[in-house]
Amino acid sequence: MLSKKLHDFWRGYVVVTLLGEHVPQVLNQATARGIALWEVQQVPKGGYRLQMHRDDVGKLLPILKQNKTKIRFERKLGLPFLTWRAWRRKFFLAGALTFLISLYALTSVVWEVEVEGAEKRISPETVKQAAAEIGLKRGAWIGNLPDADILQEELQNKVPELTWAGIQIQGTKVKIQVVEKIDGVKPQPTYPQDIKAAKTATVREIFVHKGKALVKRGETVQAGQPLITGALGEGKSHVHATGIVRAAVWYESKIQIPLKTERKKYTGASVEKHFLTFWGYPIQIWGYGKLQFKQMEELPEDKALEIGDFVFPIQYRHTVYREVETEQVAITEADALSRGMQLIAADVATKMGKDGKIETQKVLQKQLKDGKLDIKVLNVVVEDIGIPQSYTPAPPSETTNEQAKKPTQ
Amino acid sequence: MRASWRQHVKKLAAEMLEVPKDSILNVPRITLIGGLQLYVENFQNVIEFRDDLLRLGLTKGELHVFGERLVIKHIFPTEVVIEGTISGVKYLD
Repeated sequence: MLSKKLHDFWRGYVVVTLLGEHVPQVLNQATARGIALWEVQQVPKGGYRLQMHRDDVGKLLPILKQNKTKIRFERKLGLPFLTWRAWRRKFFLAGALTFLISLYALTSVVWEVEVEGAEKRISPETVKQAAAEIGLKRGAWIGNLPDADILQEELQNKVPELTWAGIQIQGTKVKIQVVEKIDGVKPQPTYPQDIKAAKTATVREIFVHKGKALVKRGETVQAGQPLITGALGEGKSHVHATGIVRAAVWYESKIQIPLKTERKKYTGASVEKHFLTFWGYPIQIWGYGKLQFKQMEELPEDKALEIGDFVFPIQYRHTVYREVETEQVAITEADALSRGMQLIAADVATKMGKDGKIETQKVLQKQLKDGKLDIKVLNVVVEDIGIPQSYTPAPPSETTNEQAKKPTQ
Repeated sequence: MRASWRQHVKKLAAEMLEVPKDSILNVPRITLIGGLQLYVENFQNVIEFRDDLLRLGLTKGELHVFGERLVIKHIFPTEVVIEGTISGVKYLD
């Protein structure tokens, strides 16, 4: 029966072979002492094979001794034997258990936080940082995290630029999807302002978007002079003036170009040496040989092994020594001149506004002295010279009433 | 004489009350199922046991079981279950 099999398994049983002449007596005596025996069978060489409970073996031995019977254990089965074998391999089992526990632990921790949808106004880093603050970061215990709804709400509160945040935990990855708020149309500022000249220049073009133009084409204006006014109708209404005023600005530049220069050139020959640096101090490990070059450039490249924040103090350095040659280069006056103009144009480009264009460059002075070319250049640049300037409008003028009053005084 | 008189009375009582005789008399009950299984209840000891012969001692007499590949499936103080190819059972008084 099954219950017997379970019982035998629980107690532990053995399959033994008894050898001797008086086995039947052994059977009788054992049975009389209450030892259960089963599957008793004669085996080819005259012995008897039977099964019995392991804990009965002790009671059986004196009977065997009495009847001059030998016993041999063939098999050992049952739970007590499993525990015994497990104990003999306890370290293996401990390892297996450790593995299972580690596997469970590692899969219950967040390893990656992925953010999708943060492109235009906010960066994924902002979202990631906010997520880390609410608990969604590498190393967080997944079981401890609150529900997705709560996390979503917290994230939206932390990053107000989001109109929606969705959080999904897929295994050990946390996927965050966000939708950014679309800006409403920014209303134009309405405070009163004028457009004034930033530099002294001659007006070429004037485009007024809002306000009234005060200057016209061809007029020369001084820095600070108002170009477009926000006051309309003689002070009756004030607007936020906007517009573009392009004018010609003069820039004077001076530069000196030497005609003879030295230039370093690689000859193409190079030597490589390999080093290991011990706490910064290099020791050569390959590339032995004297350096033959008279003039050379050294190009070292260091490689260090890093584990997290720890940098290994023994590092590898690869240095390439390239032979260089200095040659004297002489340029013609014309070349020097054009080079000078280029440099000046670049210089002027930094000084002018972003929409500026160099209209003309005129060489005012050219002098060759001591093998150097001195030039003075006048640059005419057309750029937007308008600078907004807000103002508070004065109370409405009472000039008409005052003028009428004056004669009576 | 006296023992057998007692026995005689018991036998009669069993017959009259129509109860199985082995509940009154101390005799073995042997149940043979096909030629495969043999139950013997109320036996004393095992005299001989071989692959082809099993001799059981009873309260009175012996039981011989003939066959091939005889296996004592279970053995208890007063009961024994035998399996195998049983060809014959002999009751010796």
